[in-house]
Amino acid sequence: MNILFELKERLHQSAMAGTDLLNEDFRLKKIAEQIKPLSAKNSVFKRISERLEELFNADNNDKPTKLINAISLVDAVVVTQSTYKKDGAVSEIPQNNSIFVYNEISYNHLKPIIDIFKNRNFNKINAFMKYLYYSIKEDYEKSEEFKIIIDFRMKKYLISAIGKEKDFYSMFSRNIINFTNDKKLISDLKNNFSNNKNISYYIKKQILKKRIISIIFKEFDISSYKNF
Amino acid sequence: MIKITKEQLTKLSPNLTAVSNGKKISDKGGFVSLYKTEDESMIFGECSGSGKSNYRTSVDFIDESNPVFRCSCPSRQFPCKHGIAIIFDWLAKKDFKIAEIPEDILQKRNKQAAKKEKQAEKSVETATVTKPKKTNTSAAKKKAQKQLEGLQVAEKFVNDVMRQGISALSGASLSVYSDLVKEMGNYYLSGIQSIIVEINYLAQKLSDNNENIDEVLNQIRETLFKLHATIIRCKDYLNDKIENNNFEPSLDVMYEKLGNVWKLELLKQLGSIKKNARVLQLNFNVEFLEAQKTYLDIGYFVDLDNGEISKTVNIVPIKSIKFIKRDDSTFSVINIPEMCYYPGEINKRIRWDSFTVSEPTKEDYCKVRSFARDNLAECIKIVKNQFKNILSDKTVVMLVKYDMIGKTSDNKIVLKQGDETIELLARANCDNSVETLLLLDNSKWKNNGVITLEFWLDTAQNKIYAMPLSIVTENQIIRLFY
Repeated sequence: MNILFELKERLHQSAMAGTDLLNEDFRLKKIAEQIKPLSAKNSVFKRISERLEELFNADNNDKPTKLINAISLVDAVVVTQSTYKKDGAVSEIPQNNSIFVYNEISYNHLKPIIDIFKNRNFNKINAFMKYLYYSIKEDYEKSEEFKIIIDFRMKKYLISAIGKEKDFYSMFSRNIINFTNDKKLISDLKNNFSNNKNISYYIKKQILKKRIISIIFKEFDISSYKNF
Repeated sequence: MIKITKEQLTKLSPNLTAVSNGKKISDKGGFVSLYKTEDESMIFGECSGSGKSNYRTSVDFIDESNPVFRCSCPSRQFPCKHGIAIIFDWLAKKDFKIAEIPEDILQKRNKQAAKKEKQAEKSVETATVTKPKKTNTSAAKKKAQKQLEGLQVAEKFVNDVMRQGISALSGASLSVYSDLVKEMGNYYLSGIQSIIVEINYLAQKLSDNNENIDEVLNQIRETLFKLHATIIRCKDYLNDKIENNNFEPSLDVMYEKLGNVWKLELLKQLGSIKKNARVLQLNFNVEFLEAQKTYLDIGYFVDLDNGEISKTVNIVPIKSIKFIKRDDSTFSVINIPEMCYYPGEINKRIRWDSFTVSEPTKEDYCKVRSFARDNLAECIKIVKNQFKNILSDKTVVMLVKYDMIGKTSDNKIVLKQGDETIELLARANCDNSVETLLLLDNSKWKNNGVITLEFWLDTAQNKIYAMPLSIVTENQIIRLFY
C-alpha cells in the first residue's frame, strides 16, 4: 500500500509541475519500475503499470490526457483502501442533564436567531429579547421565541453572545442559563471570563430591569420547561 | 373536513413575508366576517383593507392537495396575505358561521370542475401514459454538434493547464478563464461552464496569497479532473446520440451534467416516478456554493415504504433570490401522489408538485428506526463504491444503528457498532453537529440508538468520517441542524 500512496503523491506532483516537465521526473519513473514486478501478481497493479507505460510513451500532446487517466485510476484504487475505524478504547460520555430541550423549529425561524447570537449583533439581540419578554408575558407556552431560546441548538450561541459585554441582554441570557442549573454551562461561562474574578457576582447580580425578567421566569415552575 | 397545517400553509405561500403579513391580519382580527360551507370544503369571508370596500377572500378545499385561493384584493401575489390570513383564522379555531357558497365563487368552482373533468376524459382517450413530446431531430443534432465543438474547447483548456502545471495558474490567466466561461454558454454547456467557474474561483484564491495554498491547489486538481471526466462522458453521450440519430431524452445523469434541467413532466414520461409515496424528513440545511454564488436548500427524506433515503435540492442563485421560493424544514409526513426521481446513485434527488401532509405517528418513527443498517462495514463498502467514481456525490447519507456513542482517550467522539467504530466529525464549512450533539441531554441518545449519518472522505488522510445529522427516537427525529 505504501508504494501506492507514494505513486499517488508523485503523480499529483507531476500534475502540479506540468507534463512538459514529465520526462525529467526520474522519481516517478523509479516508482513505475517498482510497480512493474507487482503487476504480475495483481491485476490492479497491472492496470496501473499499463497506464504509466502509456503515459511515458505518449507524445507531448497526449501526455496531459494520459496523466489524468493514470491519476484517476490510482486515486480510485486509493479510495477503495481508505480507512474508517477509530483505534482505542471507547468510553462513555458522562451524563449531561440539561434543561435545554429539542423543539421542532424550522430553519427559517431558528437560523436568523442563531445568526444574531452567533454574530453578537446586539441591536438585533435587543429587539429579539424585547419580543421574547412580551411574548412570554402574554403566554409562554405559545411563545415561539421561548421555544427557540431554550432549544439545545441555541445553547452554544448563548454562550458565545456572552462576552465581556455588560449589556443588559447579555445578562438576560445568563439569567436564562442560571435557571437551567446547568453546571457545565456555568463552568463554560466562567472560562469565558478569564479576566473577571467576580464572575459569580455577575451571574447573581440583579438590577431593576433584569429583575423584571427574572421575576417572570420565577413565575413559571422550572419543571414545566421539560414539557416542551 | 379541512386538513391544513401551518407548515403546509408556509409551503403554499410565495414567501415568508406573505406568511408574516397574513399572520398579522389574523392577529388583528382583519376579517369582519368568516364563513364555512356545511361540508367544510370551503372557507370564505370579508377582510377590511386599504380600499373603500372589504376584500372578499375564499379558499376552496374541494381538492385537498391543491387548495384554491381567491381574493378581490389588487395584489398579484398568490396566495395573497388575505388568503393566508383566513387560513390562520381557521387554524386559530375562530368562529366560522355556516353559509352557502356565494354565487360567483360557486360558478368559478363549477367551471374549474368541468375543466378538470374534460382534461381527465382527454387523458383517458389518448393514452394511460402521455407520449413524450416529439423532439425536433435536426435541431437537436445541430445543438449536439455545437456542444461537441464546445467540449473540444474545454478539453483544450484542461490539456493546457495540465501541460503548464496546475501551480502555474495565476491572476494573469484569470481573464482568459472568464472568457472561456462565457464561451461555454455559447456552446449550450452550462454544466461545464459551472465547473470552470469553480476552477476560476479557486485560481483567484491562489492569487490572493491564501495561506492554505496546498489545499487550494488540491481542490483545483480535483475540480479539473472532474471537468475532464465530465467532458469525456459528455462526448460519449453526445456521439452516441448523433450516431444513432436518436435525440429522445433518456434517464442519464449526463443530461443534467451537460446543463439541461429536468422537468417533472419529462421524468414522469420516462417512468422515473413513484406513486403514492410517503416520506419523512430526516434533516434540512442550506449550503452556499461560493464559486457559483448559489444557495442549495437540501432536505434528506426517508421513504416510509422502503427506507430509501433521497434528497430535495432547491437551487437558488443569489441574483434570483427574490424570485425563487425557498425550502424549509418540514416535520410532517409528506404524502405525494406522484414523486419523481432524478437519475443518480444512492441518495437520489426527488421532486414533486402536489402533496398533502399528515402527522407522523409512533409507528412511522418505529418504521424509520427499523430501516437503520446494522452492518457498518457494509455501509462503508457501499460508500467507497460511490466515492471512487470521480463524478459521484462526495457524501452518502444513511440511517445507522449503534450500540454506543462515546469518546476515546484523545477526546474524539466515536460511534460503536459491535466491534466496528467510526469517528464522528463534521465536514469543513459545516456547523459542528458533533458539538451540537453533545449539548443534548445524552440520556436520549448515548446507547442503542439510530442515527442519520452523512459519510464523507477526507482525501488528505484517505479516511472516511461520519457527520451526524439527526437522532431517530421512538417519538421524534431530533435534528442537529434544522
